[in-house]
Amino acid sequence: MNSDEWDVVQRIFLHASELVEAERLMYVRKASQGNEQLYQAVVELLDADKDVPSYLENPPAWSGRFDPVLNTVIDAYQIVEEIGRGGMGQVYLARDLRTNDQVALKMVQGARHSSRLLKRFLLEQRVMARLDHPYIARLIEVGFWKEAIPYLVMEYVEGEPIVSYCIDRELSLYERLKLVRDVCTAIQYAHKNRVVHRDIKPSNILVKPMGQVKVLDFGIAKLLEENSVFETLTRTGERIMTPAYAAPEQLKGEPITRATDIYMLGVLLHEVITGERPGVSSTKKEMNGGLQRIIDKALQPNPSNRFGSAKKIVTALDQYILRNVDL
Amino acid sequence: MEEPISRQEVTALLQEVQAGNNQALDILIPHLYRELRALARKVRSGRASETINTTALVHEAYIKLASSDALEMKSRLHFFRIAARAMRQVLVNEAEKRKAEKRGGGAEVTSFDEGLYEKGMKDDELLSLHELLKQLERMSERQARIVEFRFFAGMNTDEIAELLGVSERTVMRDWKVARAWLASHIRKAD
Repeated sequence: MNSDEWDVVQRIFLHASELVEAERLMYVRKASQGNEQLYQAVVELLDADKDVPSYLENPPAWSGRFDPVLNTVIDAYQIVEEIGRGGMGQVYLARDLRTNDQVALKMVQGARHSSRLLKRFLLEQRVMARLDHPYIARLIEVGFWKEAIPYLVMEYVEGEPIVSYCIDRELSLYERLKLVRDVCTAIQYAHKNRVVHRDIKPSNILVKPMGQVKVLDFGIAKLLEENSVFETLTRTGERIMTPAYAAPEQLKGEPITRATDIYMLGVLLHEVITGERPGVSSTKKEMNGGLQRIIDKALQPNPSNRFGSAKKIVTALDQYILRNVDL
Repeated sequence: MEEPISRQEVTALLQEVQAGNNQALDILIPHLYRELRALARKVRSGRASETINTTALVHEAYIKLASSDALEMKSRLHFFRIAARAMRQVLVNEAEKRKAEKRGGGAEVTSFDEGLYEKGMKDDELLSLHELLKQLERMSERQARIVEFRFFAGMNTDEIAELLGVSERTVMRDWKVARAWLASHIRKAD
């Protein structure tokens, strides 16, 4: 139909649709002056007008949750942008309206409201807020937005995950070992303060541009798990972890101790040195015997056979570095 | 990745658009496309049954990019006009991508966009509406625009009338005709 024909069709249609039903067809017959095509075109429109698909009337919509975005204020924090998304929820860059500081705000998905839960959540937070170490991203606050959605406010770290940092900058073995050593000292500090990380993995360890490591999400897995924040978790008894990095006892649902972190440090050490997790590559890369022994000891299936503390890994790495000064 | 556009730039470009500079239009559309796509991707299926429609999405983009005291009403309306076009592209591209993924393999594809789907409207319906609008455009440019403004940017009758410089009555009549024509062709296709 060209636009001139369309003009005629729509004029007749609009006029007819204002008439009472009984008079419409008669009018259209008369107005189309024996032009059968015109008559049919108008009748089609009149029919269709009685049965318009509902989606034409409403703009398309998506079901699902719309994340708080852009400038939304969550208590004292204004969301700036999304910076990450994990199994527990989304992480946003936010601004503390009181101090203007940048912070990382993690919204926890699938949470349930209960005042008992809130109390325990806040109690745990006090334990973790005690951690004050240059290599640990600080937990600043835990809150319940609208008394329903838990969120964690953490120090915002601008950095790169440890493994890609090493690869991108083609760091030497010495530089890589130094970074893992720093991570171990942070873990040692936390263990002395009775906090187990339980989710040590490259994406949780950022390196700032000047080479300072920052361990993120300390104890958060425990905080969330023990407080059964996740409805599904309470139902299934499932654990918050990253299977690829999990220790055998985590996978079996056995008690998690500091030795669990030691295992994860072993995985991390392997990945930082080779770029891959242990056992991933089919073609086994030649690993220096001394380093392989450190990794093997950290990865012992039986927790009591591993290094007794993160400090012992530090010592082992230092000895290795001393003996191999020319690396 | 391209630099995000600033509010000042958006304001200046919208003023250009209003002055009749179509180049400014071509610059703005891709920016809005990216913005809307990013916003749409934030929609995730979750526990709540809230919905977000294109209107809300376009308003989010407006708040972020164009809410400025320097903008006159008419320039604001131009923003929504451009957003409608960009939103249409976002939806069509997403629908085509999903269709291609379904054709591509037997395995369920859980893409980044899995939470993004139209409620009450299937991909095929959206794609055929897109094609029909191209046909309608050849019969009546104004009617096709009105459908686009309403459908993809949630503009009201009075906003559309002001933007197009016609009466509200004309907008309502055009919408009624266009809607009936679309419905008759959608029915034919079924």
